Amino acid sequence: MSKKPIKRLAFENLTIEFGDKKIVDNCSFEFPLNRKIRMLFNNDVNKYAVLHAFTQVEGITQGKYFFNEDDVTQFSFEEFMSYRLNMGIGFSTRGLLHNRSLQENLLLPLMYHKMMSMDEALEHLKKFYEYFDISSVKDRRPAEVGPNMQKATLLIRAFIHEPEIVFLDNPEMLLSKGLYANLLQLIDDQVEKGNLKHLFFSTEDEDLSDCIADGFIIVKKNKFEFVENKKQMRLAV
Amino acid sequence: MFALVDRIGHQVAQNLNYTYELFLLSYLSFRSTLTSEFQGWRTLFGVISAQIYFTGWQAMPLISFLAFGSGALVALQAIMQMTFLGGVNYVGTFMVMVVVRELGPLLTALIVIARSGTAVASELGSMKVNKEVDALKAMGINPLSYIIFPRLLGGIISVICLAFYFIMFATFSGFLVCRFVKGLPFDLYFSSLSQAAGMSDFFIFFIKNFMSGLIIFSVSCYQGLQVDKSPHEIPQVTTKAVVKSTVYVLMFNMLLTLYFYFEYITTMGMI
Repeated sequence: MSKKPIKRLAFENLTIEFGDKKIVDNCSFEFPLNRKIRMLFNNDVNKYAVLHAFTQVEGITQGKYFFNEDDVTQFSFEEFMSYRLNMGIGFSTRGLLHNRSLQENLLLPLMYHKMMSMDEALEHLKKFYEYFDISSVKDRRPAEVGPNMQKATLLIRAFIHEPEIVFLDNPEMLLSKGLYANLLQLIDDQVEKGNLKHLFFSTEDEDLSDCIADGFIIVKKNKFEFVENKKQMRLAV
Repeated sequence: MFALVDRIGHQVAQNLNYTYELFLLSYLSFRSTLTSEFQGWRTLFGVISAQIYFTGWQAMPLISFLAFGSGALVALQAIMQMTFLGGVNYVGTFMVMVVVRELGPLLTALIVIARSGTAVASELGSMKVNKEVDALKAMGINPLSYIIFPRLLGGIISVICLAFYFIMFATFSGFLVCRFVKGLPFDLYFSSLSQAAGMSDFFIFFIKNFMSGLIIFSVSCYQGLQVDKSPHEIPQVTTKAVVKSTVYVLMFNMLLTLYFYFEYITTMGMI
């Protein structure tokens, strides 16, 4: 199945529930695209539940969530696949398969979806290993490497299939400061190649935010607000 | 009085709902595997064979020991009682009735619950806690076809093979007992066995073990996926998986045996 380009991302009258609590209640919003946007979550909003709903289309109990003109809340797992293959998700901490090596973790989506042959996939991975220097530990399982390398693998996995849209949840978490520049380089390279078009990330690190963000979305329970710059963002928060 | 009836009704409704959810999980996992155009059979085959290795192959020493012991015990009891009644030749019939129809499927199921049911429930629980299930979905890999289906299929195949191995080993140990205690020749023992075993026994054997495999692994997968966020839930769901699979397997075996004997009595004209 081929990836579908994403020209529009929006939701209308959306309600997201997590457990038995309403996390987002009857909200409408049009995501600004072709930007690198930092998402800031108010204290009354469960960040994980919102990101989970946007990336996995789960927990949405009411309203419409549009990819282009398609309301994906009505889609089955298979029907959503063409958009899903064009999305990358970087988990904040956990999410690596523990009974597989780091390399097997990275190979899995490429091989499962038959995106390339094994030789091509291994060659493809080499380029990504260079960003975080994980070649020496690629055959170890997640529990056998430090959190820094686990996080590097999680970040690479978000970009490995060269998606148009990437969601990163706290990309700085567990990553040593020394590797920040490499993360920025990875993002820049993906943008330059024309793969990455829309980046959404949440972070607690203002320095990282300053380096990446060219827009901000402030998420409150009943309101999503887009602001262009940091000054407006501070006022909105 | 009514409170008791209400409580029983509530329990029955809960169990019916639970059974429905188990069937739904099994059905969806089979459907998503068969209809998925992404699922590579090579990837699946790896997971299925790993499940058969852990559930089937690694359980063989324990099953051998248990089959040998229980076969010998049943044969010993049978031969002692039959001697008084003058029916040593019927020891094979007794072995088929007890070992093939009842003991083999039941003990195999209990061993698989203890070894693999617990392992599957806790593995899936920890996958849920570690967000591995979410990660699979994020990669476009359907957990139903990638996690559940191979465990169900591998589990069913393993249970059927293990139960077959169990009855072979148990009947062999039964023969050894008959041979050493009563000097029963192999021909007589074998003809007694073959006369007692009919097509219905093969049918019952297959249905019981197929269903045991399906029940054990669907319950274990279901319970494992019930873990929400915290690792402290993993031992809780594992215990539930053991209890529920044991109860469901026992209930199913009892109902099938009852049905079989009811049919038998009806055809004999006793009812």
